[in-house]
Amino acid sequence: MSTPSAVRPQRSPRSPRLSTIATAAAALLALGLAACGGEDSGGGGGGGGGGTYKVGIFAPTTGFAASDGKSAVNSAKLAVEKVNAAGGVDGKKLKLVVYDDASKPDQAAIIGQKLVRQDNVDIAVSGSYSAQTRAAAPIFARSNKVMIAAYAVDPQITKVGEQIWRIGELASVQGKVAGKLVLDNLKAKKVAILYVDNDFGTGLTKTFRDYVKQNGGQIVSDSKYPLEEQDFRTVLGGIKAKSPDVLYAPGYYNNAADMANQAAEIGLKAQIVGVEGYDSPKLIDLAGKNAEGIIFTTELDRDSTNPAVKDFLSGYEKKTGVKADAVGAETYDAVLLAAEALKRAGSSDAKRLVEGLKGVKALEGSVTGITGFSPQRNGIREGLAQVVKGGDFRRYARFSDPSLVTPP
Amino acid sequence: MQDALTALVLGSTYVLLAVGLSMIYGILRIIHVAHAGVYTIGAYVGYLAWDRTGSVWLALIGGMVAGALSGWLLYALMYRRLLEAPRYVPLIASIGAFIVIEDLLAKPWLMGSDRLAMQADPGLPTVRVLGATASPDALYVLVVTAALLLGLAVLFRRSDIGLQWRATASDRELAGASGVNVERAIASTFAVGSALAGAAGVTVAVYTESVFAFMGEVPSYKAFVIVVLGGLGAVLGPVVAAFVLAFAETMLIAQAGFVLPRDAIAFLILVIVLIVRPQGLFGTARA
Repeated sequence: MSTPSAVRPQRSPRSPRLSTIATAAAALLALGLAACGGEDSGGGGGGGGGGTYKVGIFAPTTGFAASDGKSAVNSAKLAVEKVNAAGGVDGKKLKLVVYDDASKPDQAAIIGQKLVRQDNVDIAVSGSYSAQTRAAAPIFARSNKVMIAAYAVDPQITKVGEQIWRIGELASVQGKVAGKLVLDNLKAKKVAILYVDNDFGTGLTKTFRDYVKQNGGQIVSDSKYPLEEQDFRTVLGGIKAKSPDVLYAPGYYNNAADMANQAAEIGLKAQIVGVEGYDSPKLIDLAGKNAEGIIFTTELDRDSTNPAVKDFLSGYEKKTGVKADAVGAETYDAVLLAAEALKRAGSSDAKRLVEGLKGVKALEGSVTGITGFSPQRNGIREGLAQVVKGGDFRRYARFSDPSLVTPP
Repeated sequence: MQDALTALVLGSTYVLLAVGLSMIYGILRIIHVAHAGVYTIGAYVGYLAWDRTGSVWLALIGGMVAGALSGWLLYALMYRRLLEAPRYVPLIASIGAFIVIEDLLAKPWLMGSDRLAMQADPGLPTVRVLGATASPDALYVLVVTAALLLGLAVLFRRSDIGLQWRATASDRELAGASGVNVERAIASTFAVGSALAGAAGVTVAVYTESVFAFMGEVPSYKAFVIVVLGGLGAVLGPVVAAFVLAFAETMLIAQAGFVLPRDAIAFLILVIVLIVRPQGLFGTARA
């Protein structure tokens, strides 16, 4: 089972037969790469000599997570255009090298090798989920290349080496923010939990559960569901019988849409509280009026008055014809951070890049509001909750208490 | 009671897919994996018909016609050429066809890989019976399934083509020697079985309020579990097996939550049944 992090698949992994074929194909591909990998490592050298810096990015642009992958890649392109329009980095233009990992960790590992050896990129960005990012991170760390994870939430990712940094919000932060939201803002007494059974859901739930218990909330129901599940009627019926005030349901927009539709169908009245995996216009598309009132923790504030955020929201919609989401915002920031690191380092030397990154406080132009990085190289920002209102995402609350929002 | 109703609706979505698969296995003895591709095509054509007209009934007709056509094409263009080949050849061809169908549908220039919303209104009432509430979508699934199963039963028992199907399924050569147009019997089995798969796709689309290119993956092996449970090639067997499975899944989830993914539950039941009754619930041991 893959463990997507920030976001929301639509189908189960391929059936065993098919995945065997896919694995075999991937193995063949890997062999092919291994055979030819050594030859082109000479390439462009570390400094991106010819007036450009190469920024590698991998994201799932095909397969079940394609909407996230496309959002990530489009946002990365937007960021590159922005940086280049402002004259690039020290006069050098950024050039994006894009790969599709199809949400497969083995594919991401192969791409990692490719970006390092074949393309010899100066810096890399993961626009992909936790499992893929976790597979690629050690390859970059071992090859002494800096990689910035945009929205993967697995805490392990940045622990493989000082070359690995993260824009996204750790589960341990987001779960606490949700706990505060549920107990203080929503004043809930009885809380039900129904979470997706992977790293993403388990991580968020653990922090949320602990917070609620420690702060006097009562958990009346606590269960999980498999990622590919589409029929929640039976479990929602059981939850309804416990009459909770709030249903905290970490998962992805697909799961959330099914839950919202079926909760309405069976008459479950509890306030649904979700997570950044809900942050996609597809949620509103799939659940329609049943999405109204859903509140979730995320990183992209549609009501921000910050010009950088406004620019991003309108620029993304103009470029793609669809509304921006949190995955895109985080990937955009990851590319901005890559540019900032290159600027501070004055080269693509990993040691200098890392030194440069350590000096970053408030990231200029950041859409998710990065104000610095923690010792474990995780982005620091205020907590945020959005609500679905009138068929759109609106700000519900912000959380600035440092004890709540500071990552390890 | 609500859980029983949920199980009944779930079983209905399984049954339409599994019966067609069982009919096709019965007549050709091929493992028709691409049946789930036919189901997906049916769902998409149903979605398009609904999108243009707003009618779930036209969606059903569209999905069934598209299902029949694509199932028949798979037979005419692929399986018919492979009938004399070893058993694994049509199986591999079938897996290939399924992957091609899914990936083609997911292409941005066709339907794309995004899940598409289908918030259809079947125009049916909300029905309350014995403390359970059937939503209009649930009622649609039940009505469509009941009508199609009834129609199929009549076709099987009361029509010439039904007789020819049964004859061809029991012994293709003997049926041919006795004057049955075997070619026509096989082609029509594909068409009818695939129309049912198309209908299954449309009912699931209405019930889950969406379609997506990979919606056939889980049903593809779920349907095989049901067909094997029911006794390969039988028709009544899969009907019963589909509901048995749906009830078992729903009751387990109601009692214990999602201790296992639904598909794991299905395979667990399959293993248990095969140990106790290797011929399936309703199959007869054949040489």
